Amino acid sequence: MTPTGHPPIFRFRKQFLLVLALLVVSGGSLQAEDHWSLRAIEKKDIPTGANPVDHFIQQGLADAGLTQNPPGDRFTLLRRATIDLTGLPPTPEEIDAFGADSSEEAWSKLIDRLLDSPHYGERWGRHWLDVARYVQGTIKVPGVDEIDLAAPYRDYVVRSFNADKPFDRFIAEQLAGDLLGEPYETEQAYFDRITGPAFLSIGQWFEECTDPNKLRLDIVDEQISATTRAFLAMDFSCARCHDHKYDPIPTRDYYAMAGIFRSTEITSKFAEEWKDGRPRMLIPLASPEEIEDVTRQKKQVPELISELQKELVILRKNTVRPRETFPAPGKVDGEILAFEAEDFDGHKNLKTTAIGEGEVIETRKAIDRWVKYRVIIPEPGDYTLLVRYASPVSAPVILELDLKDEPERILGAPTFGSGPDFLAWEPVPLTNLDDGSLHIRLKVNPHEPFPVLDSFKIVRGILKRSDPTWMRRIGEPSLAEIPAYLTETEKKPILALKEKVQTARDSIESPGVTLGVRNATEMVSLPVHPGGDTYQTEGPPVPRAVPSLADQLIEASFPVPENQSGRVELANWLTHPDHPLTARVMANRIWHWHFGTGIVRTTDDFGKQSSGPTHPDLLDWLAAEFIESGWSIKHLHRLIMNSETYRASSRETAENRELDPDGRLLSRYPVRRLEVEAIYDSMISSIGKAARQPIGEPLETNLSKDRALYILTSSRSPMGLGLEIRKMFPLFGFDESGRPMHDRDESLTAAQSLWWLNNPLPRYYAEKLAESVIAEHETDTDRASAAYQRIMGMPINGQTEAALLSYTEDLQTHQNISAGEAWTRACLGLFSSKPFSHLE
Amino acid sequence: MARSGVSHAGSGSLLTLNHEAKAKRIIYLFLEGGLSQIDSYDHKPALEKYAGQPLPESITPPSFTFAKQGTVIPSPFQWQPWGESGTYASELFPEVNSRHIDDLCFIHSLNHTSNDHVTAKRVLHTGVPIEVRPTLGSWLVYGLGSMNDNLPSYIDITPSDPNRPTGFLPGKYGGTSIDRPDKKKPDLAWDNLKPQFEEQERHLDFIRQINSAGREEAALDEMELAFRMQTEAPDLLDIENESEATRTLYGIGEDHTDEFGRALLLARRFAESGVRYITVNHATPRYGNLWDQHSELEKGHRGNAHAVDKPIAALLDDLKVRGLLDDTLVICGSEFGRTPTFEFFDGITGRHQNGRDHNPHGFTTWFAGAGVKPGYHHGMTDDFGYYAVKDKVDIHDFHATLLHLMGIDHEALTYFHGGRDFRLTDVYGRVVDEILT
Repeated sequence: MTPTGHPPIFRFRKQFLLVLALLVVSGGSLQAEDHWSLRAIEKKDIPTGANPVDHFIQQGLADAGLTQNPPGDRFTLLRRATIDLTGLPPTPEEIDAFGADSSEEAWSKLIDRLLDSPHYGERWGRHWLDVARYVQGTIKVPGVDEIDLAAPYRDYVVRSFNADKPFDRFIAEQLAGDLLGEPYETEQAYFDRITGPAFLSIGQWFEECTDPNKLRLDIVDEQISATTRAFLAMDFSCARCHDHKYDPIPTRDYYAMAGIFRSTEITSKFAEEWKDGRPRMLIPLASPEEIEDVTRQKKQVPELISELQKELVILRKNTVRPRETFPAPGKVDGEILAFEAEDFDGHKNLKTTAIGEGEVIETRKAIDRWVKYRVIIPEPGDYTLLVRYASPVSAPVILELDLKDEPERILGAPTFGSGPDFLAWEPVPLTNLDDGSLHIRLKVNPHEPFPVLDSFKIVRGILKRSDPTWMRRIGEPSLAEIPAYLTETEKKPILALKEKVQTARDSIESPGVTLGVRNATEMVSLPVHPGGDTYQTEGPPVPRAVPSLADQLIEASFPVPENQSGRVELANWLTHPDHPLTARVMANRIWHWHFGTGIVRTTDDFGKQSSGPTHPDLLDWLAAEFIESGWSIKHLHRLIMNSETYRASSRETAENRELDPDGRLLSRYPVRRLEVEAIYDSMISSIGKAARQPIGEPLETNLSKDRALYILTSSRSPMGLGLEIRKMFPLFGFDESGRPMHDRDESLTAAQSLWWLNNPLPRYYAEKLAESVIAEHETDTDRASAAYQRIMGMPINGQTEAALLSYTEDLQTHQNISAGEAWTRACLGLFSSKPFSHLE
Repeated sequence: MARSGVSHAGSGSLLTLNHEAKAKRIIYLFLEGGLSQIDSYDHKPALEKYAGQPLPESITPPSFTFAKQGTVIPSPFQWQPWGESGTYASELFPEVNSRHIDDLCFIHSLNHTSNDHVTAKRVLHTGVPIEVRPTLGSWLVYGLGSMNDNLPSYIDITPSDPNRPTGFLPGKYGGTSIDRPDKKKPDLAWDNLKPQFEEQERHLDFIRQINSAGREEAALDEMELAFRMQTEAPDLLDIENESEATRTLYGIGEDHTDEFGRALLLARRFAESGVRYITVNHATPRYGNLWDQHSELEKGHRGNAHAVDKPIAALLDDLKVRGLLDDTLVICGSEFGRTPTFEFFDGITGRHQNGRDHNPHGFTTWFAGAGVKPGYHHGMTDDFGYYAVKDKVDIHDFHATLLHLMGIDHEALTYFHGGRDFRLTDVYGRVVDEILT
């Protein structure tokens, strides 16, 4: 194939230099078709019956004067395939079964079984979640760690991989699922459509940015970057400021695409001022019919409240006013201080609003809400704090005096409205006060409603709610205060209505929610912002459109209708069979996840600065086959995993080290460190905490909650070790910052080693495992064999057995250490070893 | 496999330094939350004159601010000339000022545009506000490698963000956090350093056997490095090894200064042992932002300054005595400064009028030691200390200068990622030559 006989990698470099030279000569304006990733995909013929992977890889090896390693050891291969496809080591039963199957189809049957495992989606879904920048619990209801608003998206991705959802469909759902208006067969299919677009919403952006105009463009930029890197392996965000330096991405293309996302809303509210909040949009995870039901139920509540309000108006007019006289508003007896709610000494997340003729303060955000006042108490004694508040629902306020919480919740009863006529005075006893300065803080627990606060009085002595004498001094009652003037009998209908409101509220069964998106009410096209400056524009708005870089290959056009954002068109463009990038990029990712390195090393960069493919013909063959198979990811797994290349041993020899130093020619299976999830799951699997679910059945997510994919938000971590698990993730290369992880950081660090030596987490699992092997097996040989098999997922070998036996014996006889501790250390040592954390 | 302790040849991406390094290491004292420049080192008599009045029209407030802006409030602190240079500074840091004012080199015109803590801190440490990129410390370790193979090269003492990610740089270039594992005890420690059991050499031997079974060679580098760290570091962390006099100098054992004193003494010990980049954060354990006085500026700043003043003065003395200040750069500053006006934090009427809002548009940071001019002042803010107006220094300039002092050309230190070469200074940055010796 290569006339010079150079291995492809050298061949490529030469091309690359040429490209660079061209770039220099032509002043940077390189045409798209000059670049390998933008040429049409070409599927070269291969000999009948040949495995395409082996055909191209072995040809490359032959060119380099190398031969491929023979297949690896049977059990090493079993572990390789099992962890690769499910993220879990083989169980002792699986090891026995595979060992006993000497048929020729044993391997292909194994691959089929693993692809049918519901755990396949947990492993390969996580790979996609890396690209989609999903991190457990980062998008959460503020202050509540366990709630992961992106969890429905995570489960959707897992489900899609398990179902081998065609990748073109998967793209369409993630970019425009909410707009795919076709009828749906199952509720699940409908949920997939509304959950998929969370892809656009789970990115990291800084919602508290003070400049809302800049934030809008920053959100769009984050979406463009994530989308273009995920599907095109090109980062369009360079073109926010200027035409892309190397790739055919003019700034106009950036803003044409920016208009598409700018016409899509991912927040349910976008306040100009950061303090008023920009929460991500949540949509009910329910079918339209269910939503209708809930809406009907919800409508009852205001109807009942309005009935209640009417009743109160009548009672005020006909019952209270005729028999009571109210003096002009004045001081209550013993009153020493009156102040307005807005005269606080400090607050968190509150704002002042005008209501009626005055002002009140109310909440801005869902968490960390309080308001503080400082008053001077003239002499020691008992006092009452009178609070004038309104709250449509129960609002349990906690009182804090001089930084100490008081046990009682002081306010709470709903006043059934928030307007001026629903403000009510509530007495709060302040007993045994010292004289001098007193800090009064009113606060609520996270997510509990905060009432509207109007004004306060401090009065000597203890005033009671049941005795309205003090209330009469304040003036005519509001509607909310009317019940205080009624007899028990007169109150009855009011109480009955209140009861009804409560029952109606309690009976509403709100469905779960998911992050969602929707087209904006008005479609926006954006002008070019030179230099990415929010406040500079150049020329008229660029009409919303798909990028131009594949124009020479795709004959179809994808005009964006006036009244549409263009997300559907974007998805259609990406999944067009003539698109040069989409299939290549995903085929390369699949290769990367199987072998640790892609055919193109830079999985998120197929541009002119990328590393280029080591085996361009293979990449094209896989890409073409991917499209022809109906974008079936599992089809590519079968092709790849049934090859000799996948099964080659990982043994390094002097020859293959010299001629294939980084293993990219695949003379051997490249050893690589596992991701933190596989390491953690292998540990819990050894103590039976990773239950295997039946092959071919749908995944029961609830049974998997101990696994790394869910553990940070499932509150299932072992007592006291939750924080250690959280810290383990970044330690082993998990980037929790919410940037896409196109490639996991596999570096080995001393901090990891210290962790294996001294951290309580691996020790906890080692102890549990030691306990169980000691209890279940009598002889040290059996214990060694069981421990090794459960940890490593393969049978023990002679050398390892000798090392284990000598270590545990040494500790027990020479160091006087108990069997439990000796086996704990042995298990810990196995966890700490390279074969455990690496795929060989 | 034998590695010695302190070595001078680094193992970073730069085979040779771009030029001679004035500084071998940096100690960055970070006062989280926002030290008010106009209440510490940027003296503005106009605040007195305009007290209670709105800012004059010549000063345009930014379009978007963190909170509603009030009228000008004067500095509640006494100001006076200090040292031979007669540098005007407030009474906030009496120990530092009386013993070291002439050692300090000030930039009064640092500025950026992020006016909230999260993005401002990212800007200060990484150069960009939103995207997660490597910190200055990670870049230095990546570029220069290690001076002591038995210790990490980048240490973050009492960090507010213990898992500061390394962005696109591999995790091994990240900082090692030294924090208080037990909030009730003052001792600082780092995670997983304390051996859980004896006979670890035998344990390592066992792991080596497992690793080599059926394989040609055993890779145990990191395990052995960890083991050596475990041996060397505990001694380093134990400040009981220091003399009574030294501990007293740092204010250890005194209520207010104990915590920061311990942190700084530890910083010196790390500096001495070959750590390249040490940050010490003065922050609250959970929320950081200790210096964030939106209200009660006087009380808050006074208390905070009291906690750090003596330890900082001690650190500078101690480094000097040991000859370390010659090749150590000490930096002290915040993510931003504060506004000349009060903030409507305390009620609609703002009746207390005693706090200041965030101000990233012009704030002060000082430097001492290796390669910077002592007693020098660079840059200026306007009459109210709101905006930098003369010799403005943005964060890329700041970073370019720090890299320069460490022997690195900021345009030469790059990392290829996602289709292009990244730099700490992006496509910007000018070395602030004026402050260099």
